[in-house]
Formats: sequence, structure tokens, C-alpha cells
Amino acid sequence: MKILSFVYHLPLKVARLIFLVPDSRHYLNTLRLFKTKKLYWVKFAIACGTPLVAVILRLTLTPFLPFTTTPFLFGLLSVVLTALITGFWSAMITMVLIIPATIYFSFSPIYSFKITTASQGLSLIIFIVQAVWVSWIIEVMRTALYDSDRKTQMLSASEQKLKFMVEGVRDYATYTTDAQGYITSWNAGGKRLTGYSEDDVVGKHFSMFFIDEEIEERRPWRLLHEVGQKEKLVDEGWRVKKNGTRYWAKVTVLPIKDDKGKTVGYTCLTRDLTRFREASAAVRRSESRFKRLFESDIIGIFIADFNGTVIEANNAYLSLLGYTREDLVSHMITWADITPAEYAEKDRAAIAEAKEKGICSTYEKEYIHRDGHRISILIGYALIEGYKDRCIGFVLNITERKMLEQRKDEFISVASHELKTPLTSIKAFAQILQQHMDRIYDEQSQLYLKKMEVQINRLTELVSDLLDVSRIQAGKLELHKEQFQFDEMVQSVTENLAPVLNKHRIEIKKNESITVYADRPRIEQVLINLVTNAVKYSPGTDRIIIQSSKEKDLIKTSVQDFGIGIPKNKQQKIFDRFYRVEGPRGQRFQGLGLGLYISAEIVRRHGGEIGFESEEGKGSIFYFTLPV
Amino acid sequence: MKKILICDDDPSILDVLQIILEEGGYETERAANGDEVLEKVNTVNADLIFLDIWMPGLQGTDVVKHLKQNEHTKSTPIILLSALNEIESSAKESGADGFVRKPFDMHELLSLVKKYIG
Repeated sequence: MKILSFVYHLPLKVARLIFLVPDSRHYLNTLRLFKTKKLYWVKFAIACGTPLVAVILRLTLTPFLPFTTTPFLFGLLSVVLTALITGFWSAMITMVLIIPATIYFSFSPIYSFKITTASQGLSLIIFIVQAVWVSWIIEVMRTALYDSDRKTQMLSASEQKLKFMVEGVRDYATYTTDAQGYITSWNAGGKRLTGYSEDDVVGKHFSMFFIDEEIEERRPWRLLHEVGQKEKLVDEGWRVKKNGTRYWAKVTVLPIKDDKGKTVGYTCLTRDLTRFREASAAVRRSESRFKRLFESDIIGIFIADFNGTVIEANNAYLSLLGYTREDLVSHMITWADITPAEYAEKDRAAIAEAKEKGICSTYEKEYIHRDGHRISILIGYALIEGYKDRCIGFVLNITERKMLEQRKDEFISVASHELKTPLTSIKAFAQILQQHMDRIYDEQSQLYLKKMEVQINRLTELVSDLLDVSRIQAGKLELHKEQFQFDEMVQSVTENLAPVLNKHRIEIKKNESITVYADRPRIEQVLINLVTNAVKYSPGTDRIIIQSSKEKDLIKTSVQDFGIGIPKNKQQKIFDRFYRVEGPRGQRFQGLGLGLYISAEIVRRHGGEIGFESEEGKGSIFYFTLPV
Repeated sequence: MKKILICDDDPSILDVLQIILEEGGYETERAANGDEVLEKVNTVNADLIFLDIWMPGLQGTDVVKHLKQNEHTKSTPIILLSALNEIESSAKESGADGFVRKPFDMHELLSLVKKYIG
């Protein structure tokens, strides 16, 4: 087949070569070249060259052709050739050159520049007229051809650009339809979004993308009608993918118009909004939840900037402060106005924390009500995303709670005071009686009174513990630190406890002399607590060992007993408030269970640690450390 | 005989203190509140003053301040009685010379008194 095709095209190629007949592609290139670039010399050369060729041909073919009757044959051809290649004016140059050449070589007598007959003159005139006319027509055609070609090129370029753009858009499905809605083109985004390839859709009606219900309602056709009226249509609705799944789409439809303004088709841009819709639904849900909190007025909520202006607030906040919504709107509410000066430092610290960490730890302060009276509040706020200077916060009125706390504290102090007063009396009288009994040598009564005193001391301890616990709870345990010798303290405590111990003996194995800076009575309290516990929980044994030594930059004190120990499953709760260990037979031991709780608090407040090691049935070692 | 001025809003405490101190060989003068104390010091020459911290009206710590400013009592040792577990810093800073916690131990109390006035 190939050989046949070659043979078929060969004579044409040869003829082209011989007769210099270009094909359209070459001609267009030549045309573009000579129309866009001036190239005068080339044109002149061609204008001169063609007559030359004509003359040569004339001379070589003279014996064979009747040049007497058609003297301007080759001349006209050369003018035409020049006109075709280089245009009108070059053709005129050729014409001008041809005239003398022809007169010289073709008019008899030949080889002279004389016109002798009338027919010679006539043929000359006819030649000129023909040459000019033909050149002119050729020029007109050339121009028309060139213009048309240029337009085509420009159109082709912009088509390319458009195609590129459309193909490039992958997030949007873009397709075009004809005026009736049949799909004429499809882009990569379309495939990506719907799953349909170009072959699947081209030629089909665009209603194929709609859901069945809408097709039944004839909605796609109504939309087409609307675009025709509006020039642009934006529609949101359900569409269907190739696999049948629905998606929420936003579609923009634009008409494609021809030169006369008649609609010849439509361009549709489709965007999948399903995720967006879900996201905005989620946002709306969370917004409405937030709105609910804001408007429910359970708690005061505000939005403020760090300059101190309250920008937005709910009613609870406003009524807390006694301001109206008008006050808020007119920016009357500023932190400077509503916060007493003594909290400025606290506010500054909290704002700094909020700026750094995003939120501030809640803190207590006071607001000044519009009336002038103060209210205690709990406040906390967080930076709002997207703003450097704005925060959203809550305010809780704790005035009542504070008053209650104050009353409670007062009550504790009063109760403690009241309870200790009769105890003071009783103890004192017990001691006075003891003295009297001593004077009259009534040992038995003395003994009873001593026992009474022990119980009074126990009661005193319990009352004290209760007072301590409530102060710890309120965060009001005060430490009064002083410097003292630790070993001295241990010694003194041991001596003071000796009379209380029945069968137990305290053995001080190690007692290093170290100076500590701590609240001495409180540390004594801790040691006494540990020893008392040791005694309490080791009935039947008689040894308590105390050791105190320096470890790095700490002083570690331990109290060891050989009693019932603490079972593993109860060890976690040892330091809990009110926790008391049961004996192996379920016996309850005396005490409120507060001792270790208080001791732990005291030790921790000093920056130390408290702990124990214990084995059921073998005994326990309780220890605490203090920084030196 | 040395004289001790005792002040407490609770009469039972005053009773007990009186008995203990008189047993110890001291003379006692009673006052029921801060104002009474300040009055009495002008007429009574006390060698030592016992003051309850917590009283209605003038608090013990305020009384101390007044006493320390008064010519008569400037140098009189003052011992504060406290029902709380810890002697508060305000009490310590008031200028009092000693502190005793309630309920007190009779023997400790007497040795403290001895320390100041013998």
C-alpha cells in the first residue's frame, strides 16, 4: 500500500518541483513571511529575477514556439509569479522590466527597441492592462488569505489557552453543552468528580447528572430556561455520580453566544460542596450549641479585648455587673472601670498566661458593680483563635460562696475556741487535783487523775486535728519557720512522749545534728504522729526505732515499728483523710484518721516527701524528708 | 508577792488561772476584756500580764500594743493565750513576750511565769 501511495504521489511532486507550484502550507508560510517582514531586497530580487527567467525561457524555446503571435506569454506569467510571491508592487517592477525585454527580443525587427506596427503597440497596451489587473486581483486574494489565516491562528491560540485552562481545573467539573443541553465537551475535573469519562457523557443530555426526582419534575429543563433569561445561573442541589452516590453541588451556568448574540450552548462549572456542607453543618451545630450556652445565662460569658473593652457579653454577665445592653454596645464597660485596682497585677499575670498558653488558669477577684458595691467572682478566659488580642471568658459570682467560706472559717475558729475552753478548765483542774492528791499521798486518786489527763489530751488532739484539717482544706495552714537543731527536736519529742508510752520503748538509732529551717511545732507534730501511730499499730511489741540522718541535701527521718503492718491492698489510702487501718481481726483503732493526712500536708508544704514501707504482720517504717 | 494580771473573756479560764497562779504563790488580778485591762493597769501594779488573744471588742494583740506604749506597762512581760493550733504571725509580731496554747499544762505555765518574774 505504501509503495502504491508513493508512486501515486510521485508525479505530483515532480510537477510541483518543475512548475514551482507550491502546496497551500508552503504558500501560507511564504505569505506570512512577506506580509509580516519587509524584506525589500528579496522582493526586488524576485521582481528582477522573474523577467530574467522569462527571457531565458523565451530565448531557449524560440525555435519551438510562435512568439510572434504571443510575445508577452512568458512575460505575463512572470508578472503573475511575482505577484503571487511578493505582491502587487513587485509585480509592477517585473512588468516594467518585461516591457523592454519583450520589445527587444520579440518585436520585429528583433534585437531593437523599436515598436513598428500598430498591432505591436496594441499587444503592449493589452499586456500592461492584463498585468496590472491580474496583479491587483492576486494582491486582493493574498490579503484576504493572509487575514483569514491570521484570524484562524489567533482563534487557534485562544482555543488552546482555554482548553489548557479547562483541562487544568481539576477541582471543578467543567463541561459544555449545546443549546438544547447535550454535552459537547468534558474536562478532567469532571471525571474526577463524577467518575464519568468523556466517552460516557459526550452527546448525552446534561440531565443525566440530576437525581431522578428532579428529572421527573423537569427541573434541569427549567434551569436551562432560566439561564436563557438571566445570563448567569447559580444553582445548588443534589447531583449523582457514576456509581450512584449523591453529592451536593454548586453549579454555575453561563451561556455561550455567537457573534450575533444568539445562544449556541452553555458552559457549566460544578463544584462538590458535600464536604463543605457537612463542615458548615458541623459548624452550625457547634455554633448553636455554643449559642445555647451563651444565651442560657447559666454563667456570665463575655468577649473582650486585652485593652480592656468588653466587646460582647451575655445577659448573665451584664446583670451580674448591673449594666445594660446599651452600655455594652456603647463600649462603656471596660476592665479598668469594673476591676478594683488591687487586682491589676493578677489580671496582668493572667493575661500574659492567656497570651502565652492560650488560656489562663481560673482565678478569683472582684468586680465593681455599677452601683459601686463589690462582688467576688471566679474568672477564666481563653484566647480566641485567629485573634492575638481577643479572648472569650466566663465569670461566676462566688460572693455567696465566699461568704459561706468566711462563715465556715469563722465557725471553725469559734468552735475550736469554744471547745478548747472547757478542755482548758478540765485539764487544769485535773492537774491541780493531782497536785492535791500528791500532797495527801493519795496515789490511787493521782493515778485516776493521770488517766483522765491522758484522755483530755487525746480529746484536745482530736479537736486540734479537726481545726487543722479545715484550715488545710481552706488553704489557710500557716507555717512559721525558724532555725533549730533537728536532733534536739527529736530528743525533746522522745522525752516528752516517754511517759505516754506504756510498754513501748523508743530507741534512737541515729540522730544527726543538722540545722533545719522549718516550723518546729509542726515538725514535732509530724514526728509525734508517726510515733503514736507506731505505738498504736504494734500492740504486743515493745520497740520503736527512730533514725534521722542526712541524705544529699535532705534530712530523712524514719520511725519503725514491728507491729501489724499494712496490707498491700490498703496501702494506697494511707494518707487519705479519715482513713483508718483495720487490724487483722477487723479491729478498729482509735483516732479520726486525720493524723497522717495532716502530717503529709505539713511535710509537703515544707517541700519534703513522706512515705512508708510496710509488710503485713512484720511492721512498718514511716519516713519523711525535709530539705536542708 | 508578785502580782499577775489575768485577762480572758471566759470566767472559767480566769478561775482556773487564778487557782493555778495562787497555788504557785502569786497574787492575781482579774479582767474580763481588753478595755478593763487598760483601765486596771493604771491602778494596779502588775509584774506580769496574761492576755487571751481572742476576745470580743479589743483583741489581745491590740491590747499588747497599747500596753507597750503605756509608761507604766512598757516593760511588763506579757504572755498571750491562744486557742488556735498555731500562734499566728500577727500575734508574734505584736510585741508580746511569750505565748501559751490552750489547753495549757499547769507545770509548763508555772515554769514560764517563773522565767519572767521568778
